[in-house]
Amino acid sequence: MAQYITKRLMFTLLVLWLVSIIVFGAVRMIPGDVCKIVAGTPDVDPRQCASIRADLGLDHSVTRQYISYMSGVVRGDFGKALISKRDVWGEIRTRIPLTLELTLLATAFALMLAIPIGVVSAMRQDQPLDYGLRFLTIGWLSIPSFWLGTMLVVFPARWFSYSPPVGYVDIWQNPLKNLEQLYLPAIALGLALSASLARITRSSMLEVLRQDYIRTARAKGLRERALVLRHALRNAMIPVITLFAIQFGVLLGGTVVLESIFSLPGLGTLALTAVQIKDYPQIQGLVLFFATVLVLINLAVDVSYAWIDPRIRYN
Amino acid sequence: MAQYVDRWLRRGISRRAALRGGALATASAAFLAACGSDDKKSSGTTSSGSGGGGGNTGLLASATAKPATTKQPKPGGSFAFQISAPPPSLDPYTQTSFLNSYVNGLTYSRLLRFKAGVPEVAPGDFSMEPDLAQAMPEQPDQQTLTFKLKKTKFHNGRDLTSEDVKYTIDRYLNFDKSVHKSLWSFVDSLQTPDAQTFTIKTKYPYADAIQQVGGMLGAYISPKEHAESNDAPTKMVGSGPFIHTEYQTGVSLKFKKNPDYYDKPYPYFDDVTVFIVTDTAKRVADFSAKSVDLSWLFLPEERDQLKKQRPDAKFEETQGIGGYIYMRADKPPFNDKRVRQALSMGINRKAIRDAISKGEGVPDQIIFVGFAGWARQVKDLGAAAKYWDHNPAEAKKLLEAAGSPKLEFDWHHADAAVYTQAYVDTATLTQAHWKEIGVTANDKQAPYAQYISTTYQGNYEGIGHSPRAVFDKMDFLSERLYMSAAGQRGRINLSYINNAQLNTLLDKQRGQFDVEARKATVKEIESICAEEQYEIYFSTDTRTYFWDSKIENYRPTSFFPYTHVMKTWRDA
Repeated sequence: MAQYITKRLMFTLLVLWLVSIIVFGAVRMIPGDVCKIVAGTPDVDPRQCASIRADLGLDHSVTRQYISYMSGVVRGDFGKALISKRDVWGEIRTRIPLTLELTLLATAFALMLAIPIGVVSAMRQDQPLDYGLRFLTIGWLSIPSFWLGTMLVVFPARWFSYSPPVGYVDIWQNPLKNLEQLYLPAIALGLALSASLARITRSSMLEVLRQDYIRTARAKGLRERALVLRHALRNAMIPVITLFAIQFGVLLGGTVVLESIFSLPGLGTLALTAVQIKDYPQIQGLVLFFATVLVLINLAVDVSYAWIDPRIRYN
Repeated sequence: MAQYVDRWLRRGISRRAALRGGALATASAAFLAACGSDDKKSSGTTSSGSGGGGGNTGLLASATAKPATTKQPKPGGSFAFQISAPPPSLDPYTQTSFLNSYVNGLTYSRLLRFKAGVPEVAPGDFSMEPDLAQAMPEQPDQQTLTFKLKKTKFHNGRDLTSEDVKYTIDRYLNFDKSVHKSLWSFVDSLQTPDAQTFTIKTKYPYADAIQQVGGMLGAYISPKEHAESNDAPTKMVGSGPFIHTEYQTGVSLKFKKNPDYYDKPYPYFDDVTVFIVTDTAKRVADFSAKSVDLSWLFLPEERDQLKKQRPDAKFEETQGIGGYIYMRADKPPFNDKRVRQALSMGINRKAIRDAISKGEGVPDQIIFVGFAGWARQVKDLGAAAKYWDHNPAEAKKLLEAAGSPKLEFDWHHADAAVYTQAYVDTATLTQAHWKEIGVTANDKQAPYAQYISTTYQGNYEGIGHSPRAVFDKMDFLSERLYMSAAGQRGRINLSYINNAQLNTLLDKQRGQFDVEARKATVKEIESICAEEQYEIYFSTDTRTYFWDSKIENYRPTSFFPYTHVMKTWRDA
């Protein structure tokens, strides 16, 4: 197990290094002149441009820029944002709690819907309830989160003159207000995920319910509730967790638009703003951060298989 | 997407509302009668007021003064408004964004400020009043302006003296990252005879010096110790009515009352919060839910929705950012004015207005047609007015005469993120109209940051498309039309115009202090631009402000600084 984790960690580092090269190169291939963005105006003379470029270290070769950047990254220094001059990692760090909270709320919402729907649907296979739930989940799957987010802004305002509180309040300052600000984007973010998870839960449950050990448990007179929750559901969770890991990237991507729609100061808003103003250091820092998170989640998921299903071993 | 959805949702209601909209129709009819148009059926909107009973106040920037409020001010309380995007930086020296101007105007003083922003002053009135200056400047001759300063302190507690004003203007002129050098290029010397006296000597008689001193950009006075600190992009330290207390990047800015503000009894509010809300639907929702006191940038669709959802709210329309096309007039085929004229005649402006602004607006030209007295309506531009008519047959003839019966080129523009979907829709519709006259424009859409740093620099081939900028002084014309003898383009002379007659007239108007004489010169400039079609204008549009009915002594302006919020109170 330890050897497996070590191997995976080494592979993770390799992936992150490749990501850093791709991101570093890609942001420099975007058309447009960074000095005019920093100046905030087209009216910028060559002397001013040269000064800005020197400040940003862009007057060196790309290789030297990359080495300089990566030596900073390994020390935890992702550089300074282009215009605000704020510390890139500082900006990311302060926004992690909100995005994490939003993602967790969306996940919780998705799981609360998906697992019962998937289980009930499997238990009532090919009955009207199953058809109804499958129809519902296909519908949810078809709704893009940004569209749903917009609807959740527009309709409550039109019908009830309701809108979540403006601004942002930290959960530790005012938990209720914080929740009121986040529940609508969490629903918008979590609904599509819940549909995917419900469908995979259903099919996985159907497979497990046909296994011999389930039949044996039933024959022994185990109550249906215990059979489903203790034996079938746990074993049906492996593909669900795999899908969840894959979908986590989609979830993070969804925060970019939803945080913007709901004016929430999370990583998504930061990413969108950084892209809009071509803030290279901020974009690089964010992509590296997101890549790291995704790679680590995948690693955690692989490791969790063994915990969920002791039959799985890594030797 | 949000805007599309929102528009779709409102369309049905808007149509029904339009049938009932007597007040708006009356206003539109009055405006149509006054302005004319390039077609028989176009209309404009000029409404303002409270609830459904908006009164006709005239055309946007030329909207007239209203009676001053007679209510007694009630100090205290808080005020919240929205802006549509985060300012790129809060540093007034390195930014020209209108978003900066909003918030800079709350914290920083200028020597002078716009009078506009209260009911008794029209929103587009250029007039200035003293801000940090005790009075309007003494002008012993046309090249000297002497200001006596009020005694005050910066928000960091240090006394503000004439040396600080000198430092500020010197920094706008000479700081290598300053983006306002050209605005102050008329300055010859800056003098500080004593701590409360400040003198500007100009290189030549410059008629717009006062406008620059109190203008929208490059006029905010800040202490050296802050201007040169690393905090400048994220923190504001001025001497204005409100002290900047917090900036939650991309979300909000908070301000508190400056208790030592020199213009008593202002400001009335104890706290001001500026929420940054990029999504139009969310801005509408927040104002509908009474989460904010003031919001802006609403096109007719959103305006009508808000009028329905907040019948109690006050509203007024101001100049929008109707767009224009620029092109490489220094190169074929656009160096032939017949091609430029044909392109203008190939646009069905009415169809565009019908599609994106509920039919509202009138044809626009180089000087925003709302500036009554300075600008003429398109119909009054003489023989050149015909270039605003949609006349595909005539356009084809002009193209054939120019030897370009079939044309193909690139159309560069930004995406909808900052300039709204209406701007992108205008491009799409125009490209379709041009097909009729044998012109193929290949759509080249770019992210805003890319567009502003490439095409908007003049780095393009073919044509470009941009919203128009707001005038806060008439010499703004030089920035878009002037070419020096050395071949230096005006800052946004994006059509590479180099017309000797225009250059002479631009030099002339710059030094004309006699308003009537200057208007006559501007009229000549206007006529040349109408004939030459260096820049092809679409139609005016409107952006409506909405504010809570309990907010008193407030009126929107055509300009961006929000300094006038200090004169506002809540009539609880």
